[in-house]
Amino acid sequence: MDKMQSFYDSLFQFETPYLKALAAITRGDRKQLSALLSDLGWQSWGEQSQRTGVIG
Amino acid sequence: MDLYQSTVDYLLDFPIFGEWRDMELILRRAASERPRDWELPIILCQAFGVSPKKAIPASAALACGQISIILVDDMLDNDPRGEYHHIGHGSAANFALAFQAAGVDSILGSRSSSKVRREAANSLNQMMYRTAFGQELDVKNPNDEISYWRVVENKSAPFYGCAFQLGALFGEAPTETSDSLKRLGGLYGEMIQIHDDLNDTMAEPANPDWLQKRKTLPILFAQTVGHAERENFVRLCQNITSADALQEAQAILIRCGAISYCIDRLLHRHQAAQAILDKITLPSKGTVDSLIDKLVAPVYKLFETLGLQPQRDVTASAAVSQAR
Repeated sequence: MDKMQSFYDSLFQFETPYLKALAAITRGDRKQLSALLSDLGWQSWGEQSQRTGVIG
Repeated sequence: MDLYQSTVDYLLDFPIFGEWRDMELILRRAASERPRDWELPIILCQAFGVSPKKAIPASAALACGQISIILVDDMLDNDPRGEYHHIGHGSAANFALAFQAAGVDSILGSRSSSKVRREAANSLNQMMYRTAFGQELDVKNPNDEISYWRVVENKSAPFYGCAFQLGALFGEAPTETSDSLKRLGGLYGEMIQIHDDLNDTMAEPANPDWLQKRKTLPILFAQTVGHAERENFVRLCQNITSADALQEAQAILIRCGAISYCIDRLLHRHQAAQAILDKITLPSKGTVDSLIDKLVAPVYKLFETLGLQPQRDVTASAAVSQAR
């Protein structure tokens, strides 16, 4: 089975604290999550790496 | 020492820059953006307790390689910022070739030992080969996960692998250590690619990746995995220029686990990187540790903000999950 499907199948089984944490992200609000990613520096990394041209 | 000024000064000593003034202009323009990737060889060299000045030829080589890649990549991506809009496709290709050669010149013209120069030139050359291959694979827009990672391994990882390895070589690292750092840099590049994919898919208005129907990791996940909203997601992708469609598609990315999957892949790579670092002896390891940790710091802040598990538990569980 491929990794993505396998991950999806186990994500909502909540077997471990790790999967519980990742599953909790699926209940996040879109605006909040986007803003959070931006605040946490994700946007700046994205812009920088995008401009390298090696990425994206 | 100003790395960017030192890099420009070093390269301008090579005769071609005096003869072909537009090369100097392109170099100065690139340096004025202070690309943080140019710092990587310096940071790696310093980790061996060696003066950053010694790594300037490595940074200059990487800078030339990056300029060369961008000149071509912008044409492939129809990037509105591309130099080719001003000078034409043919000239952009000529400059790309010249900067690629300048990168090799930068290494061969350095005062390092012949062993360092030979190995560094080889590292740069292998990176350019791999990146060209990765770009070609990417042009074909991979539509399954195996193909996606193949592009990443060839397109994103080699550049950063080379950046780390060049720094190590100019820091007089033993071959085994510089090879390990090349692998570490490759993982660093893959992590940056995941960051980039997350940023691109969650940005508003729709990023060119959406508009050009490119399959970033989250989009690939949402279009491939058998979740309840897949059909709706595929339909929304057809009309992604609408703000409503974009917002709904992004909400599905969150709900179906696509964002969670990206974070999972990021953490796995971080663990693999940490395992490599643990086996390497470096006089000043902290700076390299910090480089790697910066890429996962946002994840742990995200967990904290959402009131989720503490860092140690999450990391330990990721190791279990990876081993499955």
